[in-house]
Amino acid sequence: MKSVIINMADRMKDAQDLKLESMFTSKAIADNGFSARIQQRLRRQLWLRRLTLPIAVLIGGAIAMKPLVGFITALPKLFSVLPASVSSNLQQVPISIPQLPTIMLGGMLVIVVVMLTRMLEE
Amino acid sequence: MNAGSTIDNELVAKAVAQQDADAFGELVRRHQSQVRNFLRKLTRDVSLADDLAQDCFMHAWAKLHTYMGRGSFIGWLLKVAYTTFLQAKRKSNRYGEILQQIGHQAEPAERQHMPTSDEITDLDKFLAVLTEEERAVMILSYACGLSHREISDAADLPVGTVKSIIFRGKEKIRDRFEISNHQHG
Repeated sequence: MKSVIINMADRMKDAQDLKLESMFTSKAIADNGFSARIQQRLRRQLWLRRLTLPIAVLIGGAIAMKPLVGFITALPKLFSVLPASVSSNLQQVPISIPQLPTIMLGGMLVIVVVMLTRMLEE
Repeated sequence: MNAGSTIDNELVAKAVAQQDADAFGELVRRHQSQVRNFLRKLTRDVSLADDLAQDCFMHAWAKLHTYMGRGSFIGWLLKVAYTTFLQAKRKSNRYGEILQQIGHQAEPAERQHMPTSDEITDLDKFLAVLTEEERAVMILSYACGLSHREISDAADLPVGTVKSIIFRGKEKIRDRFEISNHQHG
């Protein structure tokens, strides 16, 4: 059980205290949609926060897609320019995947779908 | 801990853990009257006070995870309200200074509701003789019913300072309005 220390100095009230208390007392203010307005602002804020990440991922992906695809398609040409000894070593490593752009796009879509599903669940 | 505090703490836990806007809405419903009353007395402007109260609850939502359940929730909320008031005041002072620097007269606060002589209550007269800090402490004590310890947390002042501010405030009011001071206990 918790014990609470009460400071009796806080509780001692003189005539002026009582008079002041009665003067400071005011009627309760009716809600009149105040809490609903706060809730509305909160919900808007929550939605914005939840949408920010998927939108940022989509925009970032869209911006990065073109140069990334260009880079990947240029890779075979790069190998042809490299000296034979270096390129033969590199070609042993299987880094050339023709479906890479599709796979990346698919991956990004999966991430966005997962995020949206989580949002809807919440 | 009373039933009201238990309900508050449960609602806070729910709002923080599940980001539950409904739980927070219930907290707003429970405490909006006290927060708005506090800000109305502090600003003496109904519409400004209500705007500040909205901002206060938005700040409270953002900082809700920092409420540890020590002390009453309303005490914590009034601390957020007082901080919101001070921030708004600082911002409007800075705005006035900038306007003066660029050669404009500070805009007369259009929204500032100046009470007419009929609307001025005894409380307004009392509050007018106090400094801003004294006013805040006196309102927290007499209108919101916070203990000295809670006021010290809310106004970020030592308990001793709170007591002396209340003493000083009462003395000022007594000197001006001649209120008797008999100990009741």
